[in-house]
Amino acid sequence: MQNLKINIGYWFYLIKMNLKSSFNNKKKAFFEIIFMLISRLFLIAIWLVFFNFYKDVNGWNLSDLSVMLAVIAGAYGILQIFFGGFYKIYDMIINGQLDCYLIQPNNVLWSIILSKSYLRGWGDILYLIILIPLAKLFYFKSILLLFISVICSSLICLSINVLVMALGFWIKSLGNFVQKYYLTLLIFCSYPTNIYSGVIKVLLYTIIPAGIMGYMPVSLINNFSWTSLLILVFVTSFFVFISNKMFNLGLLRYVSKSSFYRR
Amino acid sequence: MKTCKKISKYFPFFLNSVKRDFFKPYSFIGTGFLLVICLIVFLQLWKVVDPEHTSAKDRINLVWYLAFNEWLVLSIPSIHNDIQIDIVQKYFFHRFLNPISYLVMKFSQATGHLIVNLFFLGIVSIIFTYLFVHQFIFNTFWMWIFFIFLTILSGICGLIFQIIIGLMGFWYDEVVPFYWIWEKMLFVFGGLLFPLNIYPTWLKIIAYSTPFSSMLAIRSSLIYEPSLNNFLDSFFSTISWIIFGMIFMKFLFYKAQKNLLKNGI
Repeated sequence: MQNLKINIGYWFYLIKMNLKSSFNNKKKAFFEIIFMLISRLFLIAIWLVFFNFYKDVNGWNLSDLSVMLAVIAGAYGILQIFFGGFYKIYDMIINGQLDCYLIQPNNVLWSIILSKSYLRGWGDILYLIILIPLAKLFYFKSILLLFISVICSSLICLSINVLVMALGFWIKSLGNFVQKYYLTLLIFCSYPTNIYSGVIKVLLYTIIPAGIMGYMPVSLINNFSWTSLLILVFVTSFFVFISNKMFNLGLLRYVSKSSFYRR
Repeated sequence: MKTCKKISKYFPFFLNSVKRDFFKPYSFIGTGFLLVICLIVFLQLWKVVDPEHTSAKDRINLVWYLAFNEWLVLSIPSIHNDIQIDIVQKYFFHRFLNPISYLVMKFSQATGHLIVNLFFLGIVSIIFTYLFVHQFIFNTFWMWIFFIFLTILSGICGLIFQIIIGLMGFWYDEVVPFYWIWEKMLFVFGGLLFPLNIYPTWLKIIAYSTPFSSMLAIRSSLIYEPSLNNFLDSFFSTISWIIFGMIFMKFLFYKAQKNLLKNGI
């Protein structure tokens, strides 16, 4: 219990420091956030045009898609702002650069994950706010459900990526597979997740959990039930648990390269 | 003669990139996989969209259209990143002493990468699109040649604009935000995901007055109407954007150089 308290205190401190340092250069921060927001707005512009021409996609209309895009934008934003360190996990494993985290009395995985914050994530959060009226989420309950969905989606995205990167402990030549996997997940999450069928649908609820990240939150917000909420929370906890286990298991196989590494 | 000699100076850079990439085909597995994923997504999307009003022929053409667009977009190398790294790491500055132009050298290298990318990803996109739709596009060999020629031109046009993005590194610490905008504009105005004919008129007018539509939509419209007129239309619009891009690129580089020589590093 005492250990957990220290860990949580340390994590909050890390987040605070990262946020402070990322806003150090105000001009750069503003520039990055605005450009990210503009680039995201182009995406919604495409869908606005699309739904102007075709009224629905397999039963989904613009507001359904906006809910999904809002969840994904929020998840991606949280990932960038709070969990930005996860991008470097694979490189650190391969280059044997985990030493400085291993000597600390804190959880290794979470110390790495929380060690970096990317400003562009704020652009995604602003995009999420813009999407809320398009998604017709005007009630407190819907906003609360959106918030829960965003947290769950970001944790699922984080966990599945950690799982893939942790494979680096066993397979040294994953190369750009890790990056491509992340991109694949993002591609699947950028389109209505109800268009898939057969094997692809199965894949989207297992190996590439875009279905869980996109489709489940939409059905939860549109047709709320305690069962679907519990399923979403359970699936999220399962992914977080498995990724932690996998990473800790992999740590036993870690080989240091004794290289000097500046954090 | 003098121009030929000048150009031949840069040919080894081009050849070197081609050789280096060509003998590492496994490095295309990841990008090829991503291309197939995109194709699957588009295929699934257009399968469920308005199935009553779209004929089988239109659907096949549409899949080829999207495949060829994605093929080009994924083939353009991230030259902007290389240029930014060169600027940040000050690698660029010792190039002042060399008797070659930094810009042309970078362009030659990137063209080498582009050609090999187009070759490998072209194979992937043609094979997988055929497997998905069971029908080829273009009946004549010459149409393929013309189309590939236009694709290379469009790739070069994309390269030039990405070099311009990279050159922004002289004034801004990060050029990636500019690339995000470029990429998304390519999505919207290039008709990467949806053909421009579903756009409202005012947006079509904007789209057709940008280089994005020349690179993607106009070129890929040859799939729907393979005619000499369309080919020439695509050729001239791409060439004019290449010329405009080159002038702008030269101007930016001149400005950056002038700034550096005046104020130092």
